[in-house]
Amino acid sequence: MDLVDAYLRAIAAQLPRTDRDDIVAELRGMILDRLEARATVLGRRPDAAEVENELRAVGHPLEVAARYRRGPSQLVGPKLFPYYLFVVRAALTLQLAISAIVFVVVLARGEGDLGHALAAAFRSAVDGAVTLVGLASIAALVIEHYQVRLGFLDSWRVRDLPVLEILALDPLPLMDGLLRRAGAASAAPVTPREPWRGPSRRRRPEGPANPLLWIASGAVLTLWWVGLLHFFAGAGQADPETAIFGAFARLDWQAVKAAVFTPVLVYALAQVGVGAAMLWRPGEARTYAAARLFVSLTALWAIGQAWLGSPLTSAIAIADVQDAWVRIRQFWTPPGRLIPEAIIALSFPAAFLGQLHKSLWYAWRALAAPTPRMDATAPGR
Amino acid sequence: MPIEDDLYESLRMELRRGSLVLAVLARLRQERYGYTLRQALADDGLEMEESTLYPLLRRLETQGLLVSEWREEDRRRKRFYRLSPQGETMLARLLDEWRSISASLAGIFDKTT
Repeated sequence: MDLVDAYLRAIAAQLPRTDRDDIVAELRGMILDRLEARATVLGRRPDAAEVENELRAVGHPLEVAARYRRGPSQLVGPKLFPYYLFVVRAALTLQLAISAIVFVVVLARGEGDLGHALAAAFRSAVDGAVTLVGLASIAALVIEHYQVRLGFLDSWRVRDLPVLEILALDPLPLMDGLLRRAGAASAAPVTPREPWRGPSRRRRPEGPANPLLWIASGAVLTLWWVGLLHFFAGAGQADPETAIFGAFARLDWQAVKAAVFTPVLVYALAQVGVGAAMLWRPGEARTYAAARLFVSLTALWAIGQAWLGSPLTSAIAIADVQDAWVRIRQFWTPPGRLIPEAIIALSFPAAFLGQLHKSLWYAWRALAAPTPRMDATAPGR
Repeated sequence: MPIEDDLYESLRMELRRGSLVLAVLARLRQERYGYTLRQALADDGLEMEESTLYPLLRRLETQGLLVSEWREEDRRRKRFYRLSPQGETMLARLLDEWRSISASLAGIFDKTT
């Protein structure tokens, strides 16, 4: 009976305590029945090898115990799997694109030879892929374990589906879709202007995939910002994350990062919050507008801090109108290459004004949303 | 044709999966313990692994479709299962559905053969 006891102990260790004794007692009875039947066929008691064969026929302890488990028996269930696969495919494709950029940047900066650039790109791809697949799997596990009901999966609309074509990142259908859209736009009749309904008339429906995109983009930004995710890992002594800014590389980027660390972190987490708000109260225009307002305010905080209160300030400051004109001319007439200072100097006020516009828009939507829908007119992200 | 055999086995298992619950419920109109239930099903032509049958019995009991009782028989304690009143009702409904599916399939086969 030592073999049977050892087998049952291995199963018992995997079982929940509340049911353990009961299940093991029943399994013991079943195994003894099997051994008795075997003894009847053999005309003697089965030897150790024959007992072990019978136990193998019952099943591996992990497999047997798993059948008694309550709750999901898979990491990603069949209903969730197509969504999981889609998100993972899109994330991995984007990661590959980022790794390709890493490869080109490392080569262009002369950080190393071809092998070095390939190694940097490969490491970036593997690190990113493992992290992204891991995060998607953890999210799926939580959804399966707690049986989270994703309401937006049942309330999708056909007009939101083009986002699936785009995120599939398959060039042929994507090109086909763009051509169809271009054709439809050119063939569309000219419509009269709509009455003024807010700061923008552009319609940009918030699709069903958007909550996941918000959460994913916020999570990736958060992980990268706090140093848990590396896109440019192992690319040489100079930090290529700063190298892409050309002349700005001489700045103390660690000091810049320290100056804007908190606002950028809050901005990234606020993105996750928007996605969570959309899942929590789908279709609630005011909740959504309030969440977007918060994101825009955190973006204003981050941009303002970097622009006006960080080591960047002196490098990108625009002294007067003439200085502004010089930078605009630098931007439009690059002498062989774009001037990073000009681009960045102009980007900050432009981004600040854009976020200010969004903040006012979402404040207006949060206070006076005329219809309880999330898909009304909205400026872009 | 190993690939075809594998495919056949996979489809056969899928086809049998739902009907095994029906067979277990029907067989437990008469009280049995796991081992004799498995033998009875095997005699009916429905072989079932212990690792499938015993967890299924527990699940059906948790769902209220079976009741069980530990008793001593042949100098050993055994757990006997039988259909609960709720299980009787459920079995009747499932049998109606089974007959309906069977009739529909028979109609389809008649038309296509």
